[in-house]
Amino acid sequence: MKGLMLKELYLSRKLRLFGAVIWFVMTVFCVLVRLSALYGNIALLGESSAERACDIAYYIMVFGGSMILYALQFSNSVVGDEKSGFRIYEHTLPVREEKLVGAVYLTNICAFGAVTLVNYIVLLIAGPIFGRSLDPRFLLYIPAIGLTIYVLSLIKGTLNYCIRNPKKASAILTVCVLAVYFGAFFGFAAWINRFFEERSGIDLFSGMSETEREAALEKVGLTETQLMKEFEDKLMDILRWLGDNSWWLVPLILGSLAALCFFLSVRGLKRRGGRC
Amino acid sequence: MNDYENAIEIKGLTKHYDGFTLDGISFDVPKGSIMGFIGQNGAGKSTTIYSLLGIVKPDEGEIKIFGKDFRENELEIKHDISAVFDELPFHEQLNAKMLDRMLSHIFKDWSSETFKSYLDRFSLPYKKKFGRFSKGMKMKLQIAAALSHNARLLIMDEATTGLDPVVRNEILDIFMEYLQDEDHSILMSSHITSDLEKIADSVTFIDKGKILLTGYKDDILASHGILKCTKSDYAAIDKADYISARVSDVGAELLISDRAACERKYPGAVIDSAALDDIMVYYVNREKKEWS
Repeated sequence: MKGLMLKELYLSRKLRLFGAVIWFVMTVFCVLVRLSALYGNIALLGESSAERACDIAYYIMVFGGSMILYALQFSNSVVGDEKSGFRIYEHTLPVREEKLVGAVYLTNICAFGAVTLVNYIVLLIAGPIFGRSLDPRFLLYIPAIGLTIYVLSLIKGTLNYCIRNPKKASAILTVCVLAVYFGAFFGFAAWINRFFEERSGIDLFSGMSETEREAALEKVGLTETQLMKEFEDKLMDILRWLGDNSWWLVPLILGSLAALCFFLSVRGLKRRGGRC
Repeated sequence: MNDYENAIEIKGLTKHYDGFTLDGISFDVPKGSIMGFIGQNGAGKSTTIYSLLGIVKPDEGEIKIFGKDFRENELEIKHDISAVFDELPFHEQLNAKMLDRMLSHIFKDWSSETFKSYLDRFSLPYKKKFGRFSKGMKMKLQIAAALSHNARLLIMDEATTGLDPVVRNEILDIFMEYLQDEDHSILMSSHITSDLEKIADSVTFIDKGKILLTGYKDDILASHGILKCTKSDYAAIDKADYISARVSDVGAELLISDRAACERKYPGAVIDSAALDDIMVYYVNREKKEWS
């Protein structure tokens, strides 16, 4: 397993280094923006503009950096193995398919841990630099970004193990991601629409102009801002309830997904060699 | 541990693909010997070798390596097998140093010293990326890796194809050294039958998924011959006495598989020695019987 993990590290080290360099440059840039806001040219923009620039720089430093770092640290040597002929060679090694796939998973889990640690350190450093106190929710948001990217890399890896043509695998992944994105987008929009309709008794999105909508809401003693606020409260209630009562669903779903991907990858790898 | 007669025993190995069937082939590779595995492209050499290495799962048949059932002892056996392919199966961005570290954690008997000594012997750089290696260097690298974990069986699939004669000779010398240990055996598939004539102890000839010939090389070469005759003499020869005949305007050349019997039956006939190349070509044309 250690030898296979070393292979993963060797193959992805250029990409990892590239990711680390981009992240570092971006972090330095964010710090420079902060310093400029305090002592330099950005202050000339006016206090509120400088503050806004600092806000953006802070979020880029904390979340943008973590996105880049996570995205470029998860290795996926499946396509490279196929191209180089290693796919054939690895079947001659005294190693089971489970370990071949497991090495990729374990390397990426280690990368996830390391990147999360680096991001936490950045979060701790960014606070004093930007004069902000630590928001404990960020401690969850950062690994959540990492987990989302990790899940995508898991699915991509599984597709690469199961489908010989890497372009076809990428196309399927893109279609799936777009389907999930648009499904979630339209589902969410429909939910808001239904909530507004139930609350006000008016179909607010049936071709009404903004003025007509405002007038219709005023008749029932509501405003759009008020409705949106209620919706946000409802959403937060649901999330809070899930957090309090069903937090275990998150690791369960992620664990099941990882297990399914692992199972399919091993099966795909065995089938590629004609072994099952 | 070493109590076995044949390094490889294959019985009734069958694998069906769309348009091709490896049809119940059987042969043995005696311990301490080198077997040449010959046949034209698509004959089933690679399918056989891939089955031996566990790359493909046969539909039927039995494979024993070192006297043990391959399926039941796959991981244990794979520690003692090395495979060499016609193309380098390592990523181009790796180098020998990385490969050394990787494989040292995979093979229990991996020796970095042996690997480095082969690299020195082959003048291969330790830190140069494989992508910048020539074809000959890549092949030498594969052989260096294959011989560095004390494997008892070397299985090669067209390993010398595409190499110049100097490099091929160098590699054949290494194989001869490897065979100095009587526990070591080699199965080598190749198109270049001259290499096999030089070093092989036995030969197996496969065509269209079937074994046509298997046995000691010297016996095969001794029993086969090319009978040369005029067209009129050719007409008098019994078709059952030859494998196939190359007929031209000036006469005919026939491959015979029982030279002694033919010499008795056709006294005075000119019968020359047949090379492995000739045997392969005449056998491939056996269904046509007569070709030009």
